[in-house]
Amino acid sequence: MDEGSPRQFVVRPRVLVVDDEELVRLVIARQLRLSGFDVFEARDGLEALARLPVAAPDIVLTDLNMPRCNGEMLCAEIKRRHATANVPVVLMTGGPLDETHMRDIGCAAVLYKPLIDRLDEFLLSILQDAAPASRPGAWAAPAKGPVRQPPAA
Amino acid sequence: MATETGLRVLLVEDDAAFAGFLGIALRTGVEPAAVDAAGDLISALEQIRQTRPDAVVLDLNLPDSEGLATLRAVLAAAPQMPIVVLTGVADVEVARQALQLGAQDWLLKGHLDADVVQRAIRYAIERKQLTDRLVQAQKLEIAGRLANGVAHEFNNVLTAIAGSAQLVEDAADAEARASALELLRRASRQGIALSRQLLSLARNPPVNAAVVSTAGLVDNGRLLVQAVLPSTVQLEVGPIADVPVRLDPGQFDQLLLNLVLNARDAMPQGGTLRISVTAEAAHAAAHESEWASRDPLYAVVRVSDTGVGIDPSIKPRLFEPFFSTKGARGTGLGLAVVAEIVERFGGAIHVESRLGAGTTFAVCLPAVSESAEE
Repeated sequence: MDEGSPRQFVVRPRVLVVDDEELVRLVIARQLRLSGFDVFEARDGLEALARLPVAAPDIVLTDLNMPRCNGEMLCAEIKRRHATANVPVVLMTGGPLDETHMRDIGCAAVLYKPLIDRLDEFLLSILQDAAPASRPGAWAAPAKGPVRQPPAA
Repeated sequence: MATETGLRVLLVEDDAAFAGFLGIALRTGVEPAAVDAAGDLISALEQIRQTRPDAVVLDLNLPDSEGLATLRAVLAAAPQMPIVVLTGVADVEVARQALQLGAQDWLLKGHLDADVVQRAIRYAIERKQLTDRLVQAQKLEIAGRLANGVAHEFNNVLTAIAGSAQLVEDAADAEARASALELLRRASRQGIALSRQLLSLARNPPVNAAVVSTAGLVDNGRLLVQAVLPSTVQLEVGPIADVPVRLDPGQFDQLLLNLVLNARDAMPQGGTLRISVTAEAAHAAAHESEWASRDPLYAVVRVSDTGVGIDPSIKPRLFEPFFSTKGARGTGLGLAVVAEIVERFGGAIHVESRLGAGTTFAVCLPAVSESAEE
C-alpha cells in the first residue's frame, strides 16, 4: 500500500490522527481505515511531530486539549515547518474555542466533538480543496475566508 | 415522649446526679425536649443509631472513653450530629479543641441553668444546619466551575460512542462487529463512570458516612479531576496507599475538587499537579493536638502544585469563609468548605507553601481500625 507511487497516494490518503483520549483515537482511526485512509496515530502533539517525517500525512486531524504539546501548538509548528506547511490541519475539540485565532495560526477547519457522521467525506473535501494549492507558499487561503464548518449532518 | 418543640436530645453523662439535673433542665422551660440518657460511650453510640437524636450533650470523660477521643468517636458515628460538650473549669483548653474538632458549643459544669442549656442546644442545631447549607451551596459553585471540563469530557465519550456505533454498522464480518461492540461498551462505561461521579457530588445531605478505601476514592475522583485540568497541567497520581477511612464519598469529591481547582488556578502558566495518599503515624500527620497521639494511623491525602505559592501574610486567613484572592472569580468558599468537611470526619488539614515554588495541601483523615469496625 505504501510504495509511494502517485497513484497510491491519490487512492489512499494518509491521515495522522492525534488525540490523547485512547478510545476516541482508536474509534476515529478505525473509521478512517474502513473508509480507505492510511491512518497513523499519535497521543499528543510531541508524538505527532516526531511521527511527521515517517507518516508524511496528506492531512492531520488533531484534538485541541492534550498534554505536553496541544493541538494549537502542533498546528502552528506544522505550518512553520517548510516540509509540512501545506498539510491541512483539522482541529477537533469538545469545548469552546476561539475560531479566529485558529484561522490565524493556519488551521484548515474546526470540528466540534461529538463528530459528524461522515468524517471521511469531510476530510476528503478538505483534501480536495487543498490539492490544487499544494505548492509552497500557496496555503494562505484560510486567512481569507471563515474557518470551514462541517456540512449539516 | 412527644414535646412541643419536637426536639430529641441524647444526654451522655456518667454522673447520675448531674445527669438528673440536666435531664430536668432539658425537659422543662421554654423549649422542652425529649431526653434520652446514656452513661457511657458504647450505649451512647447505640442510642444515636437507634433514636437519631437532634442533638447530643456530651460529657467527654466517660467510664469507657476519655477526653477528645469521646468526641471523635461520636463524630465518626454521626458526622451530621450537633454536639454540645460538657467540661469542667480545668478543661477549657480541651473545650476549645473540641470546637475545632467539630463540636458546636461547650458548657461549663457548675455554671448551668435550664435556659442556658436549652439555648446552647438550640444554637448548636442551628449552627450545624448553617454549615450543612454552606457545604451544599458551595457544590453549586463547583458544579459551575466543572461544567466546561465535564461537557468536554462527555463530548469525547460521545465521539467514541457515536463512532463505534458507526463501526458496528459498517462491520464487514462477525469479528469486526464484536470488536466494534467492545469499543462501544468501553465508551459507555466511561460515560457511566463520569455521570455517577457527578451525581455523587450533587447528592444532598444527610451525610452518608461509610467506610471506604482511599485508593477507591482517588480512583473515582480522577475522572472529574482530569476534566477540570487544562492541557498545560500535567496530572501525576501516586503513590496511593489504600487506607480505610470513614467519610461521605460525595463530600470527599467536593474536598478533592476544591483543592484541585485551587491548584489549577495557582498554575496559570501550567505545571504539575500531584495527588498522593500515604499512611502515616499520627505524630507525623497531626502535630499539635493531644488527641492525635491516640490514633495510630492517618490517611494523608496530598494535593501539590508547582504554582505561584501562597503569600505567608494571607496564610492565617486561608480557611476563612469569603476570603478569596481570586477577585470576582472566587467566592472564598472553597477552602472554608474543605476545612468544614475535614473537621466533620475528625481530620486535620495542613498547608505548606513556598512563593514561586508551589503549594501542598495535606488532608489527614483518621484511618478506621479493624477493632473500631467491630
